[in-house]
Amino acid sequence: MMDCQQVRLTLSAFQDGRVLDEDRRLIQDHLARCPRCAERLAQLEMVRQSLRSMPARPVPQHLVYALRSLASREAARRRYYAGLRGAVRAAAERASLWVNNLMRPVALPAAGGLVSAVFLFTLVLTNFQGIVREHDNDVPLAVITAPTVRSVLFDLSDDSEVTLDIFVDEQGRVLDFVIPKSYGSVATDEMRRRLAATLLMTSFNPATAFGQPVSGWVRVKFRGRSEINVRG
Amino acid sequence: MPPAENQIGLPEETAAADWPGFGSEERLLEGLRAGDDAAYEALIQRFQAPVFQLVHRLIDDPNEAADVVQDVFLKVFRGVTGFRGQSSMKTWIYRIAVNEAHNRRRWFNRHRKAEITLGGEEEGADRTELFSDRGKTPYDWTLHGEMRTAIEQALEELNPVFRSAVVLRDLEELSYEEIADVLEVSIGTVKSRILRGREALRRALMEKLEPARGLAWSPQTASD
Repeated sequence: MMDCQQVRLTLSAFQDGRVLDEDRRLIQDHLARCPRCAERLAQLEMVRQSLRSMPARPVPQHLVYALRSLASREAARRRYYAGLRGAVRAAAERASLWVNNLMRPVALPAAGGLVSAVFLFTLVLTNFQGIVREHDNDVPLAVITAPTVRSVLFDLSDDSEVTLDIFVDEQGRVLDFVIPKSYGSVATDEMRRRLAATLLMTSFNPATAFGQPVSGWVRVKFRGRSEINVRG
Repeated sequence: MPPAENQIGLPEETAAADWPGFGSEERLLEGLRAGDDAAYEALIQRFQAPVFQLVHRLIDDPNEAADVVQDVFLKVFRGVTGFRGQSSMKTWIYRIAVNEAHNRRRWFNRHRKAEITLGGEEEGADRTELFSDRGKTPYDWTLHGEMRTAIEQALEELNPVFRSAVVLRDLEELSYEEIADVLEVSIGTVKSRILRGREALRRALMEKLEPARGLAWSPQTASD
């Protein structure tokens, strides 16, 4: 059983046949008994018939021409871009084929050659270690080196042995010397004078830091007739 | 036995017969994408009149409607590459048309509301004259041209949301499913909009017809 309110909410769908069979029967029953709802349906039907009887408005001729012109332009544009895309695609395929044909015969030998070269180089490189030789007049490669004795004119009258810590400036000259504590001391002033005079006549290679001459200490052991040991 | 319907309620033989020379919508689309002049011509021949009718019912100015139709077809031609066929071409084109018409209507309301036309008053006077004949019954009105003008006037005054639903249903005769697809709303919303649109039109028409009803029973002068 449907009341007027429910029926009026479904009249539009009822017109279009968009209600369930059961609802349709209920609506038809209601319309048979309710003249106001039946009149409402007749009015809605009149609205629909009036809408459908409205004449179709003719398409303006200028619009027809404009649309044809638009279609022609757009079709030409589409063909142009389709052609351009096709040409680019074909050129890319040709280039890819050419590269493939060029590289395929040499790809395996080239890869094998590269692997062999790397393998052999690795083997040979290991054999180069230890071959480097040192020459006396090489520029010292170490970052910091100690002073070394270049020439000596030393004359001790006996076979005594003396160990000295000598301070050498950056030009290789002796500026000072001391006898290390654990190595005893000079017994007489005469002996000290002789050592000083002798060291004045001794030239040294200066110490270096990063290849540049600098001052520094060196420990030297003199043994009888100019036999020298040097400790940095 | 009614013809079999496809997913959107369009009869199959109608869908195939819409594209003479192409057989199916897919082949027409291929032609459009390839820039085939015949495909473009077929599309225009098939849709220029219905799209113009639809847009003109949603926009009252015929010149504006013609401009909008050109915009619609331009969007269709440019968008055909991206059209994936989730809906039929018909509902796709109608959707573009409805959206373009609404956009133009909004723009029109914003920019031209303040403009004054010289013929405005005359037009209003003409409309009052539409109902000068008080002697007809409602059924006489339906047969008369003035009735059509009255329904057109009522349609113009209808809310655009309901108007598009009613136009698509009663003038373009789309199914509820197609309308839902065009307007991108649910079937329930379509039902509601059609109901409210028709109700508004019915009320508007009855208001215009009520005086005539009353006078229809009044005594007529000897000169009539």
